[in-house]
Amino acid sequence: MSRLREVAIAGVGLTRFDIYDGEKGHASKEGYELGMEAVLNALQEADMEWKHIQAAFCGTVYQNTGSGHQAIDQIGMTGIPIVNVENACSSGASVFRLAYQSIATELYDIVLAFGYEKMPRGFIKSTAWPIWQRYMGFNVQPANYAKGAIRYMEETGSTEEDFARVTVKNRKNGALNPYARFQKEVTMEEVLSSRMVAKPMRLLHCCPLADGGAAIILCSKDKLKSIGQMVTVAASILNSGVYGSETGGTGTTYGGGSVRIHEDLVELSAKQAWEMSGYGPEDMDVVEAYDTMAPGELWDIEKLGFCKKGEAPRLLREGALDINGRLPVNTDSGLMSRGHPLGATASAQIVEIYKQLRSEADLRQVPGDPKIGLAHSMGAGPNSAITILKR
Amino acid sequence: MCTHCQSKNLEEIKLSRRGRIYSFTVVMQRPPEYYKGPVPYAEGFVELPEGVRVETLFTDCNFDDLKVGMEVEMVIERLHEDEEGNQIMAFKFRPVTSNKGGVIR
Repeated sequence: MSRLREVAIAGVGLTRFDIYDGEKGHASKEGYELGMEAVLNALQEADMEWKHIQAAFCGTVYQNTGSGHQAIDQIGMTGIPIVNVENACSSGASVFRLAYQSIATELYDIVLAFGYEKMPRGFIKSTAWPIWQRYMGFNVQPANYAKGAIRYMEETGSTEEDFARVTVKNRKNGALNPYARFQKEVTMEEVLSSRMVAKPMRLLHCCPLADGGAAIILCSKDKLKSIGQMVTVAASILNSGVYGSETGGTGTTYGGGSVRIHEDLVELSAKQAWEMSGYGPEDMDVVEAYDTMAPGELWDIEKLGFCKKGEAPRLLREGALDINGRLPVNTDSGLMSRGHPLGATASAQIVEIYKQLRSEADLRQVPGDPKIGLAHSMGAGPNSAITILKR
Repeated sequence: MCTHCQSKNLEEIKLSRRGRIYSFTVVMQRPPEYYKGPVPYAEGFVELPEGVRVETLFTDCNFDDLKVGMEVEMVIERLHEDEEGNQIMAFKFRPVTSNKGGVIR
């Protein structure tokens, strides 16, 4: 890794995550317009012009052919390579990694990584499951987390209340995030009385869908307009399925798998991320964990190495994972209020870490001058992606 | 092909019809496509003595009684009827209530 040059983040841009269907007071926007809006915001923050961008990687899942081209077509076609990436819920981290690699290896100096999505409504349809599994009714994402949750409860003694507490914490953080779809707190009672979707997962244990875009401009240090508060990439890791993990979406949950797992995918990513960055869990000042379903946050921080197996519910109860706790997790709400536009989600996680490290997170700013942060996303496939940023 | 070592030198073995529930859920909402059975329905993983976990629907059971570790046995049962009127059959597991093996119904 010593031959890789350092890569900095020049600027980031988000759209508000919301429903852009033009109904009930919501604005009407196409998916590519959300992508474009995020890119323009990132350019403005980076104090760069479109002509400076030398390559673009775009992550989407449901936007059909040429998703990046559709968005960039509205800004200006300059002959640069545009590569579109579909890597399920990890798409936004996968494009970040490609951009990072192309600068670290000195192929380019300034590269755009972005993701956007205008989501279909209802349960997420996915071709990640073989057809026979879809006929059997195994293709319900909350059900996969439910099976993981039952297993996690069995092995650790955790409870439905522990899961509800994740929602309550993250929705509380989301109330401080102007880019989140929902900006309203919920109570334990509301979570625990919400409709059962797949036992023991209730509606408010699930992240909501949303439409939105998130963009990040990466560059070599010499191309930064200002080196004040410079944030650089300490690690960018992506792992896809390992032997023992199931095919399909089910590989993204806890303890499943058609055979006993030899190496857990998240633990593998964490090991590589610590190796690449030279840091350990104790060095992280702020974390974005993967909370597409509430219990996922708990086993995620355990697998990443922040505590021992089964200890995350206690850390949560004690407030350690709050914005002013000793390990702030999902300060912008994670997926729980922000919502989940598949292609944009993992990019938005990285954006939040960047903002926290630059003390630009306003009301949800982690106190104590955070310097190093980690974002982890999962995706059907399965995929696991970790990004570590440092200031 | 073995997805661990890519060997094609594989041997078919007969798996037990009985195993224990490794994990489960009760799905309360109709899946996005394909599945045509009743809702709610129970599904989950059954661990067989050979060390393999099978993802399966559960049948002949009270949803509230399902527990990790419960002994279950395989049955072949109708999954649904297709558009041409064919009965599509599938494996399912049900709680063991007698000493009989799995039956074809």
